[in-house]
Amino acid sequence: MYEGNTLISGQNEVEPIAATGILQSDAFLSNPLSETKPRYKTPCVVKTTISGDEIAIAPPADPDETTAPWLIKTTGDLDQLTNLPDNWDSYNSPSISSRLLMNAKNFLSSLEFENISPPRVVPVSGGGIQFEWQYGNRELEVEFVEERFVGYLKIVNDQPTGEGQFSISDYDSGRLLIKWLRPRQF
Amino acid sequence: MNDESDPYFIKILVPKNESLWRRIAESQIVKLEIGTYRPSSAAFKGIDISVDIASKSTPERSIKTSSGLAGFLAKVPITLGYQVIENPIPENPAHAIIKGKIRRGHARTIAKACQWVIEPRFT
Repeated sequence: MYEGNTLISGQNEVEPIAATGILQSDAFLSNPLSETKPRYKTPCVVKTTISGDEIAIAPPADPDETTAPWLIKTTGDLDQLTNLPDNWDSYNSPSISSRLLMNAKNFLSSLEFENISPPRVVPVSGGGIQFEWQYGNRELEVEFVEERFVGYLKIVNDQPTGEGQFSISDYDSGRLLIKWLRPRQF
Repeated sequence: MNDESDPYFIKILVPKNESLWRRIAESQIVKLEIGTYRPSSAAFKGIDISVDIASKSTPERSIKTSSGLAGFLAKVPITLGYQVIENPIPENPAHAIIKGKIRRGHARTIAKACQWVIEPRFT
């Protein structure tokens, strides 16, 4: 909590530099007794006044937030997809739309799991993005093909066991899928 | 051209025992832990996806500039409930389509059934 211009952590007192908000001491982050659990950005959902559509928008970067290595890797892989030209698969598939790319990035940002491995990032024929994870005998495919929905497929022992879709703003469903993928982690 | 909007359209179904080929882009190839490769299911998603009828083409003609050429029997999508329809076009007389929107699980099943006709080449 802050009192005046000083952050009170219970263990340390550190003062933010007024203009930047950057902490003058990193003791707060390195102290094992302090609350060092990484916090990741969770996208917020707004409704546009014109169309009424729900759009997920990532909040501004916060210097106090930690970005997980898998998220950095996957975001880089996603950015690579923007280099795909039209007809990238020789079947007239269009290049990846910026809206689908934004949906995929916001989905990833909503997964607050430090130890998750980076998914394979694969372009979908017809235009879209697919993430593929595998843990043991469980696999999960998450796709962004429609602008308002996230599609998924669960696979156990190489056999599809369930598929469906949910709203792009339903981040809890995304987290539940990851819990399904790694049940022993929770 | 075999077009369903044509009043003289005749739907010719591809038989179950025919081999079908689909080009696989490099970005859609999955490397397995054992060091081999398979096509991602993402290569088989969509509506009315295109394939070549193997008996009417050659691997060299079908692959064009893609990384790999995957083959599977027509009975795979047919058993899943899809029709495979001949759809010759001027630039590709071997062209056919798997009719309808491929479900996610079915795309995965087709991908798993594939064997490489031409192994993937990587840039």
